[in-house]
Amino acid sequence: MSAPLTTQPGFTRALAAVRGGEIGLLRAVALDLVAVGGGDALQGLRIEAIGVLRAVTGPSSVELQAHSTSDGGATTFLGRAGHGVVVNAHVSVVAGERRECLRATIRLVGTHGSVLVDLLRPRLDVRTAAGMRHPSFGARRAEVSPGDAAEALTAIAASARSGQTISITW
Amino acid sequence: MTDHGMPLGIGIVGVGGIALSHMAALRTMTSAQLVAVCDVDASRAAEVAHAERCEGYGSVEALLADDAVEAVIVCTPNMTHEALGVQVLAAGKHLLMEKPLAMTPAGARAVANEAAERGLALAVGHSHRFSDQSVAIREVIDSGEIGTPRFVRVVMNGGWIWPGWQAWVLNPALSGGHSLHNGTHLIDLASWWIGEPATSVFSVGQHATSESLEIYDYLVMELGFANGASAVCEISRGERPRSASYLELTVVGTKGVVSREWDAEGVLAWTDTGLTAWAADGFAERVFVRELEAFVASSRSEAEVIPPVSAAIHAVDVAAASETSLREGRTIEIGASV
Repeated sequence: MSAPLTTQPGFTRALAAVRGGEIGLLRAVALDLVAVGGGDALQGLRIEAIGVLRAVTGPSSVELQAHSTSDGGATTFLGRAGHGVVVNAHVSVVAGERRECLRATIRLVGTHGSVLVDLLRPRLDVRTAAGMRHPSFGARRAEVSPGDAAEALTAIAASARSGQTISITW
Repeated sequence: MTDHGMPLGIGIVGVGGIALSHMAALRTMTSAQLVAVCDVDASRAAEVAHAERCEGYGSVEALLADDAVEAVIVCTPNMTHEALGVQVLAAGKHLLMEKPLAMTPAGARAVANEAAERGLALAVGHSHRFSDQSVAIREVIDSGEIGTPRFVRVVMNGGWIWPGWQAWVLNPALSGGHSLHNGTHLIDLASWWIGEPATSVFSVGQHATSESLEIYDYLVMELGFANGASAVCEISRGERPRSASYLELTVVGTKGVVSREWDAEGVLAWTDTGLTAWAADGFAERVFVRELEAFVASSRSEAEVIPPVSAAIHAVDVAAASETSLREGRTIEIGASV
């Protein structure tokens, strides 16, 4: 991914829907980010994940339980934010030459509706005899401040190691 | 008792909503035949029996005394499953129990033990294993194309809590709570795709429709596995708008991802009710036919039961632990005996 996910036009539209009450009060958020690359890609993806979730929930405390694979290639967590919003995310990296994400979706569930955003879109499907490619298009909005994810990521790793729920703030 | 040249004689206990799906499947099958139904509402049983051209009884005892009944599908509320399951098996009939197998881990084992001691087939209606998409996903996993699964996301969200849910479903003492009533479907898929039982569960719930609900109509369960894999199982009956229906199945492996959304391969339709997605033709019907064909095969000792009884017990173990997690707000370890 080149530009931050928080600037993706589908995501900023969904955020506007939440802030405008189009889906009622926010109840839950589910995020999946799966990329191709090496270990450095994973750390970048984790920071992206916290940034996206913070953009949705706002600064909040979160009580969560995390899991990670022994090789550290995949992390999942489920928790409840201080204002009651259920938050869960999966972030992992598939080993290979770095390229576009395999999966990047976020779902925002409200009391009166929900929004599913494919963070890899909008894009074109170009099919030729040589194969397919998917050039993206669309204007990106101003980036939401990414904030500092380091403390949250450290706590998430601690929860995965201990098998216990922990409380973090993002 | 079973003559392999003849259709397996099926009796259905309880002729509520889910029984209609089983009856519809049976009408299309040649390997099994509906021979009797019973219900606590004898007039309802008689009405269904007339329509299905089979016997109708007002009691389980009467149905079990019918020699034409070789196997029984129990379609009654959850709190009856353990006692009815043992009763059916004690009568020497093969059993397909609608999920969950029982309301408690001990109850699930009691039914399983009865089947094992009598050498009878015991299947549990984890019907999602038989859907086109579930089978296709499992085939992708088995092919090794996405590597070793390390994350599963299963989402089954809908808005049909009313009028679809009856009073007993809303009462955790009678249904076991949302983890037991519907959550077992998701737990079963996650464990099946990861390839091993879960070892822990942490759950978060909401009363989406009303704070006065005694169950969590919105529920998210996070499963942990000994191999480091994890799963997020999200199920809701309290979505808005009420017509909302969203299912997502994703498996992330060490080499890639397989995923699909419920109606992604179906039909998008713009009608006066707005944009709707229609499922692929015959999708729902095939689920129950496949489930019943597998049950018939296991009853005739021609195939192993699907899912294995151990998996059905495991689903109850995890679901019961999930309800504990909801109450206590902590991660619950699943018994090592699973």
